[in-house]
This record gives sequence, structure tokens and C-alpha cells, in this order.
Amino acid sequence: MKKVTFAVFLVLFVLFTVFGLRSLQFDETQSNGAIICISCIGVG
Amino acid sequence: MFKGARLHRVRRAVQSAFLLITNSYYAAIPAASFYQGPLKGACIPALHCYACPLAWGSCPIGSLQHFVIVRQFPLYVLGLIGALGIFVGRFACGWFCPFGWFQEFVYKLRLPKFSAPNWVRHLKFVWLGAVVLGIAWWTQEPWFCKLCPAGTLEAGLPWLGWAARGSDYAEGMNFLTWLFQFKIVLLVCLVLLAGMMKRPFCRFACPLGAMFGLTNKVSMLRLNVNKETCTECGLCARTCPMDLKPHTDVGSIDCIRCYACTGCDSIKVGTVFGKP
Repeated sequence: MKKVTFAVFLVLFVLFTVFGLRSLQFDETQSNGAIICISCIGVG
Repeated sequence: MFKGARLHRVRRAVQSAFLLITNSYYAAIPAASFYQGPLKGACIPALHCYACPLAWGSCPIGSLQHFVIVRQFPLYVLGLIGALGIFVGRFACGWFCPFGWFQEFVYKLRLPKFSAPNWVRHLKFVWLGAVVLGIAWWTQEPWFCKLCPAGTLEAGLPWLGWAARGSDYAEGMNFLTWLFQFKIVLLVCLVLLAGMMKRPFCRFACPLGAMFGLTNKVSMLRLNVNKETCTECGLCARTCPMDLKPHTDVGSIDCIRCYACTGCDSIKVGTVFGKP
């Protein structure tokens, strides 16, 4: 049962990563993966 | 016989190497700038502030809040955290996270030592749900990042230094805001706590640790305790950086897989596929 649980979650997370990467759009003004936001540290 | 000094040295070396490698944009130092390239989209599996001038990757919690703010399901971030956690559980906390390394270092200070009640461990799920997800959704601002002591240490203070050097990138930054001063107070309080308790932020507040910890229950790598040879001497508990009792808490979501407890012959690393 533990092996099945491990396998199910592994497939799920790999699919998440693959589809997540495919949906990301990187451009110079806004990166969907991360925002370069200095104001996030509270000094903006 | 309890042995584990060599593994401890290896872990320290890996933690130090990870800190240096993930914060290796040294060109930022002479220019008082910061990395702005495409690698910033890559999540580093640790509390690693992307506002740190030397950082070239992003923090999973910052990225998670970003997706919450732009109203997109964070497939990529959850996938990365889950894909790592499903193999090794909360290993990244024990071997990669610079803020965890920092707290272990501060614990060596000669300050009175305390333990905390067990229920406080559940607070990190409150920070994850209420602050990282809830408040970010409601305010459309990454409020965990604004308060995060790791961010203050790794980014806030360096940017204060950059501003003192007259960096163009720090133009307009106001370090006298109540928020920045509050962040400093939070960091000071956390440092004091870390001197008196084992890894307080990791145990009570870290939302990334909360997420990784959930994978401890289903991860491929796990710890096995031989109840027949265990004498419950408590040595494993004294070496545990998370103040756990490994011989009874072996599958705990707070176990950071540092494997310090495997210095005892009764505790061994196993896999979900059976004993190695």
C-alpha cells in the first residue's frame, strides 16, 4: 500500500511540474515563475 | 555505540556548499546590483530569498504567493516541492536550507536552553494557510515575504548595505518604514529564540517546512527503528536538531532527514520498498 501511495504521488507531482512548466511564460517584464520584487522585502 | 560525527561534517559541508552555490551572483557585489536573469524563475528548494542580491533562483514560498496573487493554480511550485519531497521527504530542510543552517549555528551560543510544547509545531500550518495563501489572496501582496526573517537576513540587510553604498537599484527604498523596522525586530527575536531553542522557525513557522513535512509520510526514503535493539537511552533525541525523539517520532513531519540519529545502530535509513 505504501508503494502504491508513493507511486501515485510521484506521478501526480511529476505531472504538476511538467504542466506547470509548460504554462509558464517568461518575459522581460513579468515572469510567471517568480517576480523580481524588491518591495517584497518591505522597503518599497 | 553512537557515531555520527562524520555525517554531521558532511551535512555541514553540503549546507555551506548549497548556500554558496545558490547565492553565487558575485557580480552583484562590486556593482551593488542584483541578478535579474531568467534563472530567477527556478525555485530553489529552501527558504532562499530571491531578493538577496547574490541569489539567482527564487524561493518556493515567494513563488507560491505570486501564483496566488495572479490567481493561477501553483502547479509548478507544488510539483517541484512534491517531486523532491516524495523521494526524500523534508531532506531539503536538513541539508540545503541556509536559514536552517543559520539557526543551528546560532544555537551554539551560550544561552539558556528551552524546549517548547508540542502543539506549537502546528502553528506552521497556520502560517501556510492563513498568511502565505489566505492573506496573499485577500490583499494581493506577498505578506509572508514582507515579514519573513530569512528575507530580512538574506535580502533586507544586504539591500540596506547597497543603499548605504549609493546603489542606483536602491534608489527610492525607505528603510525607515514601520514594516522594515518591524522585520528587524522579528529577526532579532528569532535569533534570540534560535539561541535558546533548536530551529524555532523550522519547527513553528516555516510554511515550506510544513509542505515538505507532509511528504515525510509518503516519501521513498524513511527511517526505521529496530525496537528490539533500541534501549531508549535518549542519545538520538539529544542529537536531533529538531528536538524530536527519533526512536518514537521516526515518521514525524518535523524530521528534517539530517540522519544524525543514524549514528545509533538501532536507527537506519530505509526505503518504501523495504530494508536496503
